[in-house]
Amino acid sequence: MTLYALAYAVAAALACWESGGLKNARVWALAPARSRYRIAANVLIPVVLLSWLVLILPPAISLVRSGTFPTLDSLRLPAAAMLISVAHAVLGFAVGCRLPRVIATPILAVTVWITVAFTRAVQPYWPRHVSGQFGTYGFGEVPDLITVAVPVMLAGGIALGLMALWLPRGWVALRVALACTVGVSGALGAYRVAADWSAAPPLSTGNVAMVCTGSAPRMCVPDFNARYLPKVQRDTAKALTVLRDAGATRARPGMITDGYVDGRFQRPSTDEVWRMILTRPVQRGDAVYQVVVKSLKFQCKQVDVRTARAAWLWAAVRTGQEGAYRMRREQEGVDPVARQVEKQVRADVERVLAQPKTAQTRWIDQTLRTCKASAR
Amino acid sequence: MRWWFKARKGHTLLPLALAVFLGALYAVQDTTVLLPSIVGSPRVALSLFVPVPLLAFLMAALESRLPAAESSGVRSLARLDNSLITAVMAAAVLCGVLVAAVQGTAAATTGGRNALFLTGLMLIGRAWVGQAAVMVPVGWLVTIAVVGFRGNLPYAWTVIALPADHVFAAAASLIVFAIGLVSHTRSSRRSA
Repeated sequence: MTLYALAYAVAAALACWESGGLKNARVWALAPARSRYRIAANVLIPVVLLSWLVLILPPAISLVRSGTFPTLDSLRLPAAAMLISVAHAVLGFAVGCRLPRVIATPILAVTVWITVAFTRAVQPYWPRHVSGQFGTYGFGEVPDLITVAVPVMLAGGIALGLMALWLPRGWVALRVALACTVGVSGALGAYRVAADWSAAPPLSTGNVAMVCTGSAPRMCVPDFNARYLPKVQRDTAKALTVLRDAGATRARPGMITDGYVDGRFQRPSTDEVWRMILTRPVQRGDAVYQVVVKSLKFQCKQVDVRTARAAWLWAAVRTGQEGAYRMRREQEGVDPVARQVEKQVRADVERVLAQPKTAQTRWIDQTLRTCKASAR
Repeated sequence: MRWWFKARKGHTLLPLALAVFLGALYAVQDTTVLLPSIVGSPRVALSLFVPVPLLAFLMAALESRLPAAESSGVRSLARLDNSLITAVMAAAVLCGVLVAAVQGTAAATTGGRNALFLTGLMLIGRAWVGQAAVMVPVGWLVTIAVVGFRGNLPYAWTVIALPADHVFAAAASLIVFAIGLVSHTRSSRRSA
């Protein structure tokens, strides 16, 4: 759940209420002893702090519970949201100066909350990019600075414009002109920048520290999986060698890397570089099995379950990954039909494994080529 | 009584309030909005939020008073205030029925019912916190948007998110409104 909209609504509504309180107390009619900005800032500080609390407390609790230290990149969104809440506080303050607070506050709260939150679900994409209701970012994704700057530009421009209206000297017409210029240029600038963006704002993926090891294939995983890596790389190299010797594959990947860090911009694998989702499999212990499955290339469009699984199970047994195969099947769910298929597959594979190596090579070659297990 | 009505700004605020309510109720029709929530993203009907301006204007009217004259007067202003609130609510329910008749769906009648329930909450809150109670309905709306839905179905305690023909919601709204009026009678003399 993202609380950006709620934080902005809290800032705007409470600022409106406080500003109405100053107006009712006729503070602005007093002879000025302190700067008006300072008076406004004094009442806005608790308001802004509360809205910052709305933004920061939930992620802070999460981070503490998981014992994680936030990276510098991850602070971009909260920092921008904090600036935007200040801007909303200024906006609410301006509304409270003009309208009776009892009427304006609830309407402002609901309006800000709904308008900002609902931009996530409207069709041209630019409102969601300028509203400050940031989307969800995946592992390894970092929003570009322009992405977080655009909503700050809109809200901040309007807020600066309103603050220019309260300048203590200068002609009113000049101040109004200045305020309009700043506000309109902020809003238009934000719109012009974000108008062409798609659903995903500019962001970079793959911002994860990787560790690599070995060669042929060289394997790379995020550094928190480093302790699994040597064994996984060794087993993968061995498994690929076994499969090549058995004639099941000709694949010789130079590099196998974890594609999970590429987030929403997944890049395709090539013969040389394989990108696979390995983060969980490495921890779970079926990463080698995933590589084995990927190395078996069926050469027809459709493969029936029994044939596919027979080939996979055969390869898994030959490379010592039978446990991973069984784990995968259990994850998919064991129902009577699946159990029936599994029994057949097991019988097929046992028959094949009992044959001499050359016959096995012939069998797997034929299976991959015709997608029909001939051992039935 | 005319002075009381003028002191409450009834001649300006209340027609404005009802006009805004009627216009908004007609405008939102069956629009729903996606709001961030703890469980999934319920599609919340925009008509839930329509009573908020009405309540704000009502609170502004009730808070617009002449404290000195009112605390020394002999007439029961609480009774007058209560009849004012009841009249506004009756008009709101009528607006809901009217819009529902024009649009041909029962959905708009929830507007009147929800106004009744939220007004009750606001008046109960007013006994404690005075005019700041105008935010109590907003708090209720935030609460039900965040935790009031199971998937896309509202829990019964949300009351205002229930469909138009829900008997429990109608009864709960009436009861809460009645409790609100009673607590208002007991607290309205205190100038907030």
